[in-house]
Amino acid sequence: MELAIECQKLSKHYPHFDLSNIDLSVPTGSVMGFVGPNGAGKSTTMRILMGLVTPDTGTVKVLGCDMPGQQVRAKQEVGFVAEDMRLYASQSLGFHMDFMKSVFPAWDDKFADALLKRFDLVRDQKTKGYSHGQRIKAMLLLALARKPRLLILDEPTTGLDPSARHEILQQLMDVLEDETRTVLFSSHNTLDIEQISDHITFILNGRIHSSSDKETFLDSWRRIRISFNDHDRPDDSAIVTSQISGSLTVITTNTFSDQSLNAWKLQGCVHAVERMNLEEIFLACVENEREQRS
Amino acid sequence: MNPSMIRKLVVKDLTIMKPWILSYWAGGFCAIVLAIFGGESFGTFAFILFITALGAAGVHTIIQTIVLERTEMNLPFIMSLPITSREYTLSKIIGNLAIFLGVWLTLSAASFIIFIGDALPRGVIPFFCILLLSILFAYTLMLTTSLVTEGMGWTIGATVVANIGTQMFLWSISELHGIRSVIGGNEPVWNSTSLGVIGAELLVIVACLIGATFVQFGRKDIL
Amino acid sequence: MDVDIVLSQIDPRPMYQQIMDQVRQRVTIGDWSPGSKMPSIREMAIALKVSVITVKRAYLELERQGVVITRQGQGTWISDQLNRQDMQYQELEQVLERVASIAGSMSITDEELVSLVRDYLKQRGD
Repeated sequence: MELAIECQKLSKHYPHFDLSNIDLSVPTGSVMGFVGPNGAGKSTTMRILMGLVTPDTGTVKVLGCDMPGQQVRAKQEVGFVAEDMRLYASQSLGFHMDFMKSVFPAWDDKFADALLKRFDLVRDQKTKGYSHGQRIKAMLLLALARKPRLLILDEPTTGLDPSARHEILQQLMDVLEDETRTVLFSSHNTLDIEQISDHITFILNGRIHSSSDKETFLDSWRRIRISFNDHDRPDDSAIVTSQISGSLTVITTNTFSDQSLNAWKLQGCVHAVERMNLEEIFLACVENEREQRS
Repeated sequence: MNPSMIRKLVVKDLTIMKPWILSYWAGGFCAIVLAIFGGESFGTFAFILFITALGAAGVHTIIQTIVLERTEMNLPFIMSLPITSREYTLSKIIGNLAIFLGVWLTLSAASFIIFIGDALPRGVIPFFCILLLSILFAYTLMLTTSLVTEGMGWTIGATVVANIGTQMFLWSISELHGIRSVIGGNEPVWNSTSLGVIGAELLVIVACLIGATFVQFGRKDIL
Repeated sequence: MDVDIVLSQIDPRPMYQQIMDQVRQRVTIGDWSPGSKMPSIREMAIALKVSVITVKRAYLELERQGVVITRQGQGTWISDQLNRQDMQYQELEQVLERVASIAGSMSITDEELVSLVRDYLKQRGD
């Protein structure tokens, strides 16, 4: 399998934060959703991928190029949009479009104009007065119209109204029509990630918590409502979180399978087995991590 | 190094700064015109206007293209382009120098017109050259400080220090015998004192620029 | 073949199952006839704005059930061996499975369940 992004054992030390042992592989032609709470290290990881930050240890390969050593070659084909990034306020979107066109030979004028219409943006308007949504759309336009092979998007849908979010997700999916193009995007909005990602990577407190293909990932998680035969439960390792109310215990597990279900049935009366969505899994992970730290 | 990429970055900064630079430039020329035709009563005002226009052109460009680019988060956008941080640094040094030298050289050259008439003794010319170069040095100090420290506070600090420092420097230079004894004459006298000071100024300017480039090139992370 | 499938965000079923169910429904009601070509996995994913891997999974499971046939490198077709009546039976079976599982969790015996169904049908007949 060809990889668009390949990181091994990335670490970066900051006075109040450590990114440690980040391994990340994103196959070409897929969408990787990058999930984690604020300050977990998503943005730092993405900046390392872009060669903007040099890791203390570890190796990064983006589109086959070593970062940051071969960053010029890699960035020729990478579109990067971060939520906190800003265009020049005193200039119009048209100024930025002309500038990008001068930098990227692959810039597609027709596509840029089509996006301008689709995103409902005005070419001559100064970016100073842009709303948050317009800003994200403008930056996405600048990234998309140069037809990058890899899109790295830091929180592209955060704070957008539903129709803008919808439009952006549609654009991301359209990118994938070409099987050689890849998207890595981070979001707090687990619904977006769950919807369009092929792979999901969870990052918590500067470490990769889990990383796998979405279907396997969602399939391995269940919420089980169970009355245990006795309360000293033998199989603690399979439980991520548990909550006792009366005789009923609600547990979440990330090692679910038909066999494990049988194992649960031996330990008590299973009342219900429920699938979890990404948001519920996310919350379970965060809660588990918090408990382990305290 | 990719010269064409550096050129594109410089052109971008020039385009952003163009309306401002033109207005400072116009201000400087107004000062020169005022100095020639305004007579003695407007002399001091013309001088202040001249210095202000030059200073503003330098400080504004530094703050806009270096400091605000960082604080306004334009930097991640620019660094996502196919460039290295070294190319970025070079583009900032070249762009800022090009803008300031453009204004400084034209205004400096034009200002020599004031010596055509008899309003000022020509013996002032060496000291006037030292003054113009000290403005360039003050500018270099601000530019390199802002490049290396990447912060608004430091840049403002450097501006204040450069401003006061230049005045004290000029005052002490004017007290030197080699300067004071010839300043009132009808013809400029280029003695070892004036040439020495000019040489030292040029040397320090170049040293500052090389030093700042060196420090920035050794930096690991730009963000 | 148009991909006019609409997915629900609040449907508790996983997305791949929603896709499967809708494809089966299309076939059952006769919109998509046996032997006709399905959209490619990527086309379907882009149209539905869901990940490729989710559509891939839906297609795989549909293939396992014999609803579609995938020829390596060529695409996916609605199986021409498909019998609409069989499909309808399969759908009925799925509902029955769910009924049986709920009844099981309520400790309702098979006999009780059968009589419940009979009562319901009778009531509906009235």
